[in-house]
Amino acid sequence: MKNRKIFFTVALMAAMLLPMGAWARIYVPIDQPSDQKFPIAVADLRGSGGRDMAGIIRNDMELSGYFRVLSEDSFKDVARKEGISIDTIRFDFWTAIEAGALVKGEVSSEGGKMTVTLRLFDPFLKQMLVGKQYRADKKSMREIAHRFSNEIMLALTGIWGVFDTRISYTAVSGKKSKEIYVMDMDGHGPFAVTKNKSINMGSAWSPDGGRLAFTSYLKNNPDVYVSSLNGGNLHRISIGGSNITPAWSPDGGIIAFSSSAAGTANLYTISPGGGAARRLTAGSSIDISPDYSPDGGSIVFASERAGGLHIFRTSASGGGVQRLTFVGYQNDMPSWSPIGDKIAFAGRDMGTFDIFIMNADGSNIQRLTIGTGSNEHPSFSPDGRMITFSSSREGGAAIYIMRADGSNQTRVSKGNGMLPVWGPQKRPE
Amino acid sequence: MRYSHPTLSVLRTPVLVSAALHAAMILFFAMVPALGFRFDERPTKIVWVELPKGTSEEIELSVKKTEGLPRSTIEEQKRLEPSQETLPALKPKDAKEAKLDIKTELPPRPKMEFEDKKVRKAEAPRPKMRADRKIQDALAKIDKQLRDRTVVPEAAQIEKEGQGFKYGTGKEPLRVMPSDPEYLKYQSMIRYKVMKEWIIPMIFAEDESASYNARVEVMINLDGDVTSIRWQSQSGNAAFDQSAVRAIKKASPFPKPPDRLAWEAYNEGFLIEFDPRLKAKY
Repeated sequence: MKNRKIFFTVALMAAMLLPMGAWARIYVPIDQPSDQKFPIAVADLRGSGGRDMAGIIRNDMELSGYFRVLSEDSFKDVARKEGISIDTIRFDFWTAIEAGALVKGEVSSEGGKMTVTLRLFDPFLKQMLVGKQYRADKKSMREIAHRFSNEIMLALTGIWGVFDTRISYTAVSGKKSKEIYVMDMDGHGPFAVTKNKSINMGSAWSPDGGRLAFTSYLKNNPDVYVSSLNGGNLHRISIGGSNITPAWSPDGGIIAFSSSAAGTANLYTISPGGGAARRLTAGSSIDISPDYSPDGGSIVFASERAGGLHIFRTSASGGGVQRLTFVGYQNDMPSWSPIGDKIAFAGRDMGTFDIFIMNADGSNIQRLTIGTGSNEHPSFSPDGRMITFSSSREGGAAIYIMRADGSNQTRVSKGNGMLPVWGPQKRPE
Repeated sequence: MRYSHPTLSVLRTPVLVSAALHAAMILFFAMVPALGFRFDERPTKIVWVELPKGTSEEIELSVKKTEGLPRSTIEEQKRLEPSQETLPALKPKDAKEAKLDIKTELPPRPKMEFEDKKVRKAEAPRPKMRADRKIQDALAKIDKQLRDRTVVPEAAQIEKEGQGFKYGTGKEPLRVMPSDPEYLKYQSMIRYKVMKEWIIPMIFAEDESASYNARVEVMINLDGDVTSIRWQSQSGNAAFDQSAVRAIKKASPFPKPPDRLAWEAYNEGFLIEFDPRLKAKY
């Protein structure tokens, strides 16, 4: 009797406790999204010019490397039938074709001015994420489209896009002459900054985007010049020896460059207006290709001081030189990411140059290009997510852009081009 | 004063017995953790296994340190097909089956992705998809053979000897924690499958100031099909939460669990946690 009571109590207690305990779900952490690009549908805008405008946005989305732009064939008819407001859009259709985002809009013109309405929707949430209206001249169509592409990037990636930025580069323009050019980052609207039929090369943007520093043989000697984007206000800032590879400091107050004024090429700094140059590095081995860190406190450069050309960094005042690369034998043209954590450079390997990326302390060098001719002169976009570079993969060198992990390599320059440099976000008016 | 109440006199001994029994039982449950009685009010027993960065198939696939500049690009390394040797050790009896499983799990090569989607959209029967996969695999193999060099994950100037780095722009070193290989492998398979389908606006992964975390309880049936998805906690952002549900639905059916995990998989299900910041912990 007593035993039965004890047994009963124990059993009851156990029964009460068990459901609390034996829970062992298999735990699965999902810590990174798929490598698949985000699917986006960009419908032609209603009204005249709406198709071209959608085309520019589609191209921007492709260039970004973040999006898979859905083919218009899969939605053309539906898009034409429905409107551009939440209550007229058949969201079920867009979710069925797995569009993660949808761009719709319309263009209306009145007396030379046009009004453009652009909207970004989330078909799964049936919500409008961004709605913008632009009023402008007809010739501003590209600018409006790029502006909205930037809005899309902000809404879906959290960082304002760079589709309204520009790239400067050097292009062969005639027999024995090279000129500095500037184009939109999607390759449109290239124009010549220099027109002196001499050899001009290796440009650097002022932080406000209004001026360029570059090397020119205008006076039959390589010197560093500064000019406005239209070629005006041209003035020489270096004196004596060979002067190459200028780089603008982030505050716009200093230009660093390489000069052989004292015999071998060393780094110097000078005011953009000219004046006395200050020597930054010394020694009998060459130092070239300086580039400022985004905080302006450090300079990364290439030097032969350790035998072979390697990447080094120094403080902006010239002290504390530190070696960053120990592998390879000709690492040149470093470019500091605007975010500051990465440095891209071109390294000679297997008989040709390729683009590499490493942490700002020199660790974790990884390759971004291979087997595609010579890939040179990387330069980060202002948001740090993309890199422009030159490549000879299609014959002569041309300008390409890619994501900072080496994916989505796309040619942007129509013609030839080399030594590209990505301009800042701000544009001069 | 002497109690004469009948009940009390009857209970006098049983009360003592009961008190002693209770004390013994509390002691017993506290000492035997297998019974699950714990004082710290945590009913959910979750097995936390630390995983390395990168996709699961690359577990134990560390990065080679190169003497010179690395010979393979980040892009090529991402396309690397998981090889059998790189997966945690398997029990011999499971090996054959697992091999087959893994084959169907192979990611289609990037350029094939679109065709694959089309097939799925058209609700094509699974066998056809398998056949397509086979063709794709064959094509991929030829493609691979055409390359004149082997691609291994490699990076130059690795921070610490013996440690590798994962792809791209990550700064954190790869760490592989020792754990139950069978559990790890099955967990990896599910993780990889769900991850492959998890397409989110990059704002959730790139915006470091933001924090999004969603936990979902998922049950499967004997075919591996997902039968229920229940929120344990939501991120508060509808787009993020929906993307998690979509990923699980698209990842269904799940791979069949190995025998040792079958009971748990079918009866307890899975706790799937979506959080881009988890990566930083590894």
